[in-house]
Formats: sequence, C-alpha cells, structure tokens
Amino acid sequence: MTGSVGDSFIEITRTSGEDGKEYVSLPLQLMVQAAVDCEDTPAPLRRTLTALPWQRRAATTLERAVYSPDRIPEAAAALLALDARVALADGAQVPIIEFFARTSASQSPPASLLLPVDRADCCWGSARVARMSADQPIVAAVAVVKSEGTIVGSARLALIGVCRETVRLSQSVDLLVGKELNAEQIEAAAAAVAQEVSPVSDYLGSAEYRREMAAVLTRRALEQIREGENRL
Amino acid sequence: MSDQNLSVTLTVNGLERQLSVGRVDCLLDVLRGAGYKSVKRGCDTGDCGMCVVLMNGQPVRSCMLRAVEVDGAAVTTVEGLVAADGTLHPIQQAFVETGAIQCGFCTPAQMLLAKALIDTNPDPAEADIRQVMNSAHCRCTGYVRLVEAVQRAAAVMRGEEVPPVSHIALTLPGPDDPLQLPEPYYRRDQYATSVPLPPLVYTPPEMERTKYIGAPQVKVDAVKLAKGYPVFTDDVLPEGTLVGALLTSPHAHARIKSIDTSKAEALPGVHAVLTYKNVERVKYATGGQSWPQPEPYDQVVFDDKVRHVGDRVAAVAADDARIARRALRLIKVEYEILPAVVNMVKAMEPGTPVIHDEPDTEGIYDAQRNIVYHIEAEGGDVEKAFTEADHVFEGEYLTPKQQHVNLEPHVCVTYWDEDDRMVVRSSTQVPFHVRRIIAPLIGLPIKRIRVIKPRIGGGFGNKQEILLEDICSLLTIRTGRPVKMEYTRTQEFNASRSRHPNIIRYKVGVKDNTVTAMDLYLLGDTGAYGTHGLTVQMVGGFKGLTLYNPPNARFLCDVVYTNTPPAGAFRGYGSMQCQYGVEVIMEEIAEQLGLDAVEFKRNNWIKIGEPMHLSEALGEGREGQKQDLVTSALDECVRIGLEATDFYAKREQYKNQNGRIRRGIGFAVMIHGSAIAGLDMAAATLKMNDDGSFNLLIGATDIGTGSDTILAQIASEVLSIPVEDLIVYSSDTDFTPFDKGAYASSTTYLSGMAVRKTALKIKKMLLDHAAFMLEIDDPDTLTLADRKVTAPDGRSVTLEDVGLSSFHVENQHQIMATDSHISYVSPPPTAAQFVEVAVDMETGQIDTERLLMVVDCGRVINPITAAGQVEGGISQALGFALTEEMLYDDEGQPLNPRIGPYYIPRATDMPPTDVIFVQTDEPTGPYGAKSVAEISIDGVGPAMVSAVHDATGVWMRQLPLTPERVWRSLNGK
Ligand code: FES
Ligand code: FES
Repeated sequence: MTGSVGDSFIEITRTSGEDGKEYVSLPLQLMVQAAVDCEDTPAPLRRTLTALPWQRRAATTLERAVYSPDRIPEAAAALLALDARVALADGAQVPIIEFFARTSASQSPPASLLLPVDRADCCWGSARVARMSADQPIVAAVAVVKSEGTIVGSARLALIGVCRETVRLSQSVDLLVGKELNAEQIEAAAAAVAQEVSPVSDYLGSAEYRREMAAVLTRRALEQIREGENRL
Repeated sequence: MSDQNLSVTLTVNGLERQLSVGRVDCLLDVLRGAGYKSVKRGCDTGDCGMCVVLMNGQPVRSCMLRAVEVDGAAVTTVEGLVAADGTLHPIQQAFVETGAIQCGFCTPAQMLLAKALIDTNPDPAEADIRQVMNSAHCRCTGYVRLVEAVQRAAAVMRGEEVPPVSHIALTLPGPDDPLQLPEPYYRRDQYATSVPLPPLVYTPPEMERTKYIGAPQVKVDAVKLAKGYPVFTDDVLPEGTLVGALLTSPHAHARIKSIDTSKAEALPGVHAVLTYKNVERVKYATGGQSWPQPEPYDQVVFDDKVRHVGDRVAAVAADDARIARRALRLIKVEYEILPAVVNMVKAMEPGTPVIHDEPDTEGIYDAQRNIVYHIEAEGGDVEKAFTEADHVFEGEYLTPKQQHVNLEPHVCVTYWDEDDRMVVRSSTQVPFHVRRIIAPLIGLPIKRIRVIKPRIGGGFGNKQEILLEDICSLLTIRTGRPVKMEYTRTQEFNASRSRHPNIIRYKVGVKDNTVTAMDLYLLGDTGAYGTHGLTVQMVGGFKGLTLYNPPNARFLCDVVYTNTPPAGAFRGYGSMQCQYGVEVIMEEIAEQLGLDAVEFKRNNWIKIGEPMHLSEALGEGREGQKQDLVTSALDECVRIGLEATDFYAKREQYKNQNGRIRRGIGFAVMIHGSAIAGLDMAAATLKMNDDGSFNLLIGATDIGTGSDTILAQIASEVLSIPVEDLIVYSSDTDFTPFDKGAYASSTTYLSGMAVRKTALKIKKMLLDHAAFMLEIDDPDTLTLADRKVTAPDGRSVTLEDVGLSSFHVENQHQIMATDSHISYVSPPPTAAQFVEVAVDMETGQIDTERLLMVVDCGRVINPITAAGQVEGGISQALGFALTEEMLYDDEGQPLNPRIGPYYIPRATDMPPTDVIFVQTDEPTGPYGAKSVAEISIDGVGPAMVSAVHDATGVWMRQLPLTPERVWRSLNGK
C-alpha cells in the first residue's frame, strides 16, 4: 500500500512495536488525506479525519495533525483510545499519551504514527455534544473495548473538554476489565468518569455541564460497544 | 509581502510562472500579487475557506501555505476555469443559473471545491456536496442554491440535459378551497432530505400578470463574479498604493496617558502615523444614516480615551503590510486602565464608571448612568387596560450580541484624482452617507470627495457604518499617496459592529382571549458608542408592539453604553429581537390559557385595514408617520405553512414522547417594514444609447442581494425590453443619483419606485419621439412592446430607430430622465416561519430538521434572488437561535473573536430549507412589491423556541439555545 506525499508515493508498512504487537506505520509526512484513504486506518480515527474540511485533509501532514492534541482534538482522542504509538527518528517508540505530554526521554523527532493492527474482538464507540453538528465538540468521548469472551479484556476511553488539557485518557474504565459490559457496569463507569474528570468552565460550557456530559457521553460510547455497533 | 527575494515556480492554470517571494509569504498573497484576484482573503486563521485553491487537484487553504513550501506545484484558480474564448465552465454556468452567487465573495472557493469533488466523484450525493462545502463558509445563501448548483454542474458534466432553473408558479386558492402543495414541499418520504427545492410562488388570481417582473432573471453581475474578475474593492489598487494599518486598544476602558510614535515614524518605509495628537478632534457618529443623524455625536477619529477592546488608537501608512505591522508594534502607548463596564444592567447602576465623560459630547440622555437614549411612547390607556384585563402575563427574554461575519472584511482604498479630489473606493452600503459624513472629518468639502462602491462581499448592515474611510483618506492626505486599509478578521469582531444584545420585558393584558394591552420595556446595549442605538430600539419597539397591535401599548426603552465593541445596524434591526420576545410570550400565554397558539395568535395579529397604533409615535429616530396595514397575506402564509409541515398532526404525534431524542415543531409569525417612512429618498437615472439600449444609473447599493438585477427588471417591465438591454451601474457619488443606500429593507420598495417613475418618464419620451417619427398626433395611441413602438395602423419604429433618430437625425435630444422617490408609509411584509427539531434530552443539543418560511413580500420581482435572500436570512437566524454570541470576560476581553469559536452555520448544519411566497399587491410599491431582505431573519428564533417547547415542555427565554442552556432548563437549573 502507498500514500502520496506531494507528487511522490511512499510505502505504508507494518512493523512490530516495542510491546511486541503489530502496527501499521503511517509516515508523518503523509497528508491527512492519505490516512483517510489507507484501509488500515482504524474507523474511529478515519471518521474524525474524514469530517475535517477537505482543504485541511489535503494540505495538513499527519505530523501537524498529531503534533499537538489541540490541533484536532477528536483525532487525538481516537489515537488515545486506540493506544497508538509514535515511532521516533532514532528508532524509539513512545505511546501517544507520552508523545502528547512531551514526557518522552528521547529528543529525537517523530517519524511515523503506529496504529495497532490486531483489532480482533475490539469494538469502539464515540459520542459528542456540540452547538451544531459541524462545530467543534464541547465534550466528546471515544472508547475502544477488547472483549475476551463475554467479559471486557481491556478498555480505553479518551475524553475531550473535561480537563485542563484538551484530551484526557480516563482511568475509570479500568473498572470494567474482567466484567461483563452490561447496563449496570456502564452506569458505574460513567459515574466514575464524572468523578474522575476535572473540567474547567469556558465560553462553550461550564465545568458542571462538562462533568455531566462526561458521564452521558461515556455511557453512550460504551452502549454502542455493548450493542456491537462498531467493530474495529 | 516580505523583502526577501526567493523564487518559486508554480504552474498556475496551466501556465508556468516564476514568482519572486519572501520566505514567509503565504500562497494567498503570492497568487493575489501575481494577479489571481479570484483568490479571496476572509481571515488569516484558516477558518473561513475563502482562499481555497486547487493544488495538484486538491483543495488547499492558500493562506495557510507558505509559497516556498509549494514550489513546483500546479495550482488552479477560478481564472483557470474559463475557456480561452470566455466560455464558462459548466460549474460556473451552474452557479450563475441557479442563483448560487449572491455577493460572490465565497463563489471562487465554492466553485473550486465543487470542481475537486466532481473530478473525483461525478455523481456526488447531496451529503457529499455539503460535506465538501463545509470547507468554505457562505454567509449569504444558506447553501441551498450552492448545493443545487453543484448538482446541476455534475449533471451537465455527466452529459445530462438539465431543465431551465425556475420557480414553481401556482394560483393561490381561496380561503375555502382545498390546498394541495406539490408533493416535495411536504418533505415526506424521498423528499425528507435537504435536497434543494425551487421556490413556490402563489399568486392571487386577480393579480395582474407581468412579463419581466416575476421572472427568474439571472443576476446581472453573476457572470463577472463567476469568472472571478477583479470586482471587489481590494482587487484593483492604484500604482504605488501604501498599506494602512490600525493599532487598536487591548483594553476595554482606558485613558491614553502618553503615546510615542517616534520609533514608528523613523522606521524606513513608514510614511505617516496618525493619533489623536495630530488629527483634528471633530465630533461625529459612525452610523450611515440620513442627515441629520441622531445625536449624540460621541466619536472622534482618534481619542485620548479608549472604550472597548478594538477601539482606535493609531494608524500608519507604510510601503507594505509587514512594515505597517512592525510600525504598529513600535508605537508605545501608556494606558491608565479604567474599570470596564460589561454588563448592560450594571451599566446603569449609580457609581458605575462613566464611559462617556468627555465634555464635548452633547445629547447623551444620562451620561452618569451610561444611558445614551431613553425612549417613551404610549398609545391608549395601558394601565386601565391592564386593570380591566382577565389576565396579565409577564415575561423576560434575552437576545445575544451577534456578529455579521460578512466574509469580505471592511476594506477601503483612497487616492487623489487628477483634479485633486479625494476618491474613496470602499466596501460600503452607503456611499452617499460616507461622502457626507467623512467630509468634516478629513477637512474637505463634499464636492471634493467621490465615493465609489464596487461589488461588495456581504454587508448585512455592518457596512452601513463609516469605519475606515475617514482614516484611509487622512492617510492619503498626509502622504499624498493612495492608501489601502482592510480590517483583519479579529478587527471585524472587535472593531466593526454587531447586533444589539437586548433584555426584553413584555407585560400583556388579555381580555376574552384578546390582547388588549402590551407594555414593552427594552434594554439595549449599544456598546461603546451610540451609532444606531436609538433607531434600532425604536424599530424594535414599533414592530414588537405592532405585530399584535393592541389599542393600548406602551414602549419604554433605555439604551446603554458598555465597554464592548459598538453595536450597529444588522439585518432585522431591533425588530427580530422584539418579535422573538412577543412571539414567545404569546405562545406562553396560549399555553397558560389552554388555547391553540395558532388560533390565539390569528385572533390577535394585525389585520388589513387596521391603523398601526404606534406608527406616529415611533419613527426611526424621530416622529413617524400615520400608517395603516394595507396588504397582508399572513393568514395565507400560516395556512400554507401548517399544511406543508403537517403541523397539527405532528403536534399530536409529539405529545407524550419518551426517550432520549424528542421531536418538536414550532412556528412564529412576523412583520417587518419596507424603507423608512417619510425619511429616506432614492433616485435613479436612465439614459438611452444609439442602439436602443439604456444605462440604468442607480445610487442604490447592491451588496450581493441582487438589487441591481431587480431594479433592472422593473425598468424592463416599464420599457418592455429585456434586462440585457440595460447596462446597470451602481454606485458612484459622481455619476449615479443619490440613494440613501442599502438598508432598512428599502431597495426594492423605494429605489424600485424611483426606477419605475424614471422609466415611465423615459417611456413618455420614447413615445413622443416615435410619434414625431411616425407623424402621429397623439403619442398615447402608440404601444411600446418588444423593443419597438407601434402605431394603431401597424407601422412601427424600433427603439434603435428612436435612438438613432433622436441622437442624430431629427428633433435631436438625449432621451434621459431622473426621478426620485420617498414614501410616507413603510408597508410591512408578513411571514410565517416553521421550524422542526430533534432535541437530545440528555445533552441539550438541538438538531434542526426542517426550516420553512412562507413569505408575503408583495410582488416577488425575482423569485430566485428573493428565495436566496430568504434562505440566507434563515441561516443567519439559525445561527442567532443556536450558536452565535459574542462573549466577553469581566474585563471586557473578547472570548471568541474568531469565526471558528464564534461559529456560524456550515453547509452540513443546514436542514432542508424551503421558501414559499404568497404574493400581495401593495399599492405603494413598484408593481406591488414590498421588501424581503430582513423579514427572513425575524422568525427562526421564536419558532425554534416554540419547537423546543413542543419537544420538551420547557420555555427557553434566552438565545442562543446552546446545549448547556437547554440542558439547564430541562433540569431546572
Ligand atoms: S483566508 Fe484562508 S481560511 Fe480564511
Ligand atoms: S455568496 Fe457566499 S458569502 Fe456571499
């Protein structure tokens, strides 16, 4: 598979992560449009990127898009939920959360975005609230859950607009692991998320509203997963 | 452009161009500098999409790309779509034909997006088109005709035949006859999408038929706009033009303790620096209104006090924009920061800082309490009526400070002509008012100033203000050089104008289900300066008390200063705020009385023949005129809207809903006005040419509304010639007769009458000369039709014969006439707005599912442009209802002064949006026309509240209905 950079094409390859998992490697000099076109791009990320104006997709490199979660918050949330990694030029790899937080020890520049390939038994869900449908979200949630039989093997939930930082990976959904994803557990997770977040009021929404929405949207994202609507 | 000299090679529209650029020059500036003026600038932050070009076939924002980064790229601009022989590309042709071009400022970007889409997907679905159009804003069209244009272009490019673009004409059934609309207008089944429908036009059977009026005439300026010709103010600059830039205040309220411009003046490339220290202090008001403008004249060109973030501090003229910006940074200003007054209620409290404490402003009602205007008007005996009423209801409603977001910013170019006269080429709605108002500010008599209005990239009232013309002219006077000034987008938010935020308190007395008394208290926030503060609130009070026109009505109003950017004229002009209040309280009353809201309103709204009780007490800034309602199709508008939306069935269906998403349907009625009664004047000139064509010279300013076209249609109808035989020119204070400008819904009604009267004079001259040629004694026996004059015996002369004869052969004279018009009535258009919504009960988010407006604007001169006006107004109203609100912190610092965070509707935000006209025959209007531009914005707010109540059971009393506000109401917070 190839993606275009200007007039030239570059290879999109698969690679092993430091964690031993397999990843598809999207070079960061690719345009966002190439990530949309790449069939290996996971659905939650593709959906977010597709919603961008075409001229942004056509003229923004993946590097610019992912460099800071402020640029495209919903894409950042999708990457967090997907447990993406960034491969640095010196060969090191850092989880996307560390890349966003700039906590990686390496000073080496980023080279490619690593998206996990193994998505068996994974489902995702997302929900948002905005003033209008094409507006930036006030609060949004993206969740990815891997099932092991009937129970939750792992769960990742990223939230936008509920903390001082733009995007936040929730710890609360950890309590779903090892349990069945039923209405009761979802409610409990949503309530825990509302407790966990520390929203800040701004012109789009008060802290109180944002906290409430964190719970509502978490519940919705998880309900989509429980209903098996979106397989990864 | 920067001073570094690098070279890039671009293939622009197939032509290889070697361009010298600076290291940080953006592609937008480089392309415009190289002559590709179709590429527009609407911001510098990547928000607006006006600068879209195709790079290697893909749309990109040229303002976000450095030219050096794209060396070697192939770039397509709209100039490249036109064939070598001038033939339009099918996309351009479709945009022209469908009425997708209003002001035309967004058109190049939209057409390139369409091209990119169709090149990759020859048969795009409507949703695909909208998704792509999200890449560039349009503030004029509501996206309806844009979507239609792309669909049409794609069909043509697939080789399909397309039908001519037209409206659907139907005869209005009588009140007892069955009403059956064409199926798509019910928006059921396969039509339940946003697919654009042509406007429906209902005509009463007795209304006289016309030939050119009522036809879907293509706009006279559409082709040049589609071709991307350099027709906007910034597109043509005289040789050696300097760049002017404005230093604005970072503080909401401060005194300038000192200002040092020496470093800026010493900077090479800087030619002039202006501050309050070197510009004469002349008091004036920026609102472009007829003379004499209402007091107070509370502004000067530069002051030693700043009253809002964005207020003027200094201006420079420099060789280029970069030097100008550097010079602004070198101006050292020491401020004494004063406490800011941001809240309009607190502004009036004793002890609040005084915003206008300068001694030379006269006419402020109570400067110590920041009350600039206090208005009182009463008819009947309100207190007695309240005492006698069965019920008295009270309600308070709040409306936001909305920004116009005209996509072309304010821009102005000034230069001395060869006769030492100051030429001001400006993006203005009011060229004649500009000339009069800047004269004392720049120290020149009116006769030494010429104002030219080229094409305008949207105004909506914001360009009814004199914002840059004075400074730009002063810079030209100081430097002797042409100067260009343009607001940045941030300055548009902080230093242009906005809608007045209002607190609206109604008290309504009802006896026997009849509204017998209304008391309206209106508090208006005019921001830092008075400008339109008086007239906007007077119009609001008048319309807000005339829609239901109770015999006992009282209007009390305070207009206050705050340390926020000034409010001004904005489509809807106070009327939309007050009609929102009155419509919601009427619905609330109906609910409390257990009445059907439609019936309750119908029983009470103003009827034909009624005097408008407050029309004399509430004019615009002065006493008004006695007026009756002569024409109205409000009953029919509501009836048609109820039918098209299946209103009652849905209301029934939506009772007792459960679940997360609840649906609702709402409606509102409204009236507006047509021009300002007894105040404003318009004039027109027609001049015949040898070939039987005519120049139509009008002072009326087409700001994208299509007024040039409809005025030409009026002349066409009188003279029985096609619009192509008219060369329309607007406006230039040297060459076109006076017109007050584009505001107050006056162009069709007032300027249209001026054109009609002028054309009738010309007709008489034509017949007289033809009678002379045909040796007929009585010219009245001749008929003028189809470009010729025919005698009763069948002999005829063509208009070309008449032209040649009158110029060169016999009884030689110029067939030419000017006439003017003023009206002492302002006949209201009437309308009904329907809104359907789905409300998320957990988040409070509202999804709008349908917008329908049924409008009586008198005779519809051009159904396509009129529909475009309504669709665009509706989309601005949707923003007003749901998202748009300029917000400030306690220090008066703006919180969202960018298009993105402020948020105006995009293509995918717009639901199915339909327009139905019900024609009436207004006796005082040209061929029965009233107005259409402003009424279109009045109804969505209250109809939205009505729909949300239907869905949820809560009354929303503050706009916009943000998700949090709805959520709070739903949860009783
Ligand atoms: S000018 Fe480029 S996006 Fe506004
Ligand atoms: S026509 Fe789109 S902004 Fe005016």
